[in-house]
Amino acid sequence: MHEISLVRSLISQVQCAAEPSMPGGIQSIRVRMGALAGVEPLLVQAAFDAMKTSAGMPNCELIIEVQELRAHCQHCGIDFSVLDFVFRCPDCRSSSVRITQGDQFRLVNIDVAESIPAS
Amino acid sequence: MDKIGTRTIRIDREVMAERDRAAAELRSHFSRRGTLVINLVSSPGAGKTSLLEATAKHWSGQGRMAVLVGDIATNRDAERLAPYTPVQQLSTGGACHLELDLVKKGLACLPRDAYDFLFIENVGNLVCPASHNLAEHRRVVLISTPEGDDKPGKYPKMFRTSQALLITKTDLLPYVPFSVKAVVEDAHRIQPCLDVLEISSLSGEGIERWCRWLEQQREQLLHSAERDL
Repeated sequence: MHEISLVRSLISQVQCAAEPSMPGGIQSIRVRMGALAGVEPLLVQAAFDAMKTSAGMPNCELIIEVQELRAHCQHCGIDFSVLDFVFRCPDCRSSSVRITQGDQFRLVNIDVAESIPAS
Repeated sequence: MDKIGTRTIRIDREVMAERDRAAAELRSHFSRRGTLVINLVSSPGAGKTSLLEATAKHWSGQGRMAVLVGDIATNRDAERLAPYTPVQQLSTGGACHLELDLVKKGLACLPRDAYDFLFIENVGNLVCPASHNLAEHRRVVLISTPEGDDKPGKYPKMFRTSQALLITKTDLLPYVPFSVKAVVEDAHRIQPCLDVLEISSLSGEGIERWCRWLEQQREQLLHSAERDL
């Protein structure tokens, strides 16, 4: 279970990015992960819930988007969904394919609360 | 009175980006020195330490290699390898994989000679180490014949991110239900570029070929533009 170390990195990135907007507080964090990201959504959620209070964001919600694994065929040029981790073009059967999404764990955005001066 | 609103800060960045950058920096350092870094990964007991023992004996006395060996606890692997090669044990204290910071700490304890190969023996685990780049030029995954031939499909990230597959303990092939053909087909479905080598560290079969493969990979490094970065 290496999700704790990844969530630690995630929290420190969020804190760096949100610092100037404090003390309004971080309301939510949106992350995106694919089937080949090497992280398990349930474990990331559990690690985040366990760490968020000590990280000073007890009310922050973690929103996880799970992305399908997709690739681009470098032979015939089509984009396709990779099913059962078979990295072969369904059209021309070439195995010269490049992953286009689904192998990363990305921090997408964060929502911070801020005061809007009364007009 | 002020009202509370919400502002969205767009980031869109890989969570591991900073660590990947640090790994790339260390890799360039080794590229410039002409040291090929190999990250050895497998299940526990697949024969990583035995492979390194056999490799060190093959190059005995030539000062060509050094080893960082990761385990959750004990110095047993380092003690095993110490008679044959410079080695430093990395204890993860419970963690299931090695991280770059621990590798850097271990490097500080190794002799500063310019060896040709640095091996990083990861913690036995086919899941978590797949997500952690340790500045390696090549990732090599081992499957031993008693483990069964169904591993690649079960651990796709590890096989997708490796450059070579070593089938180890081939001396046991007559006694265990293991199809080399099936495992290679399964692995190539996930990573068609994977080089495959069959090895028995016990009998020594395949060790010479493995060392030749390592030399070829280092030759590629020495001739690659990466060295001039």
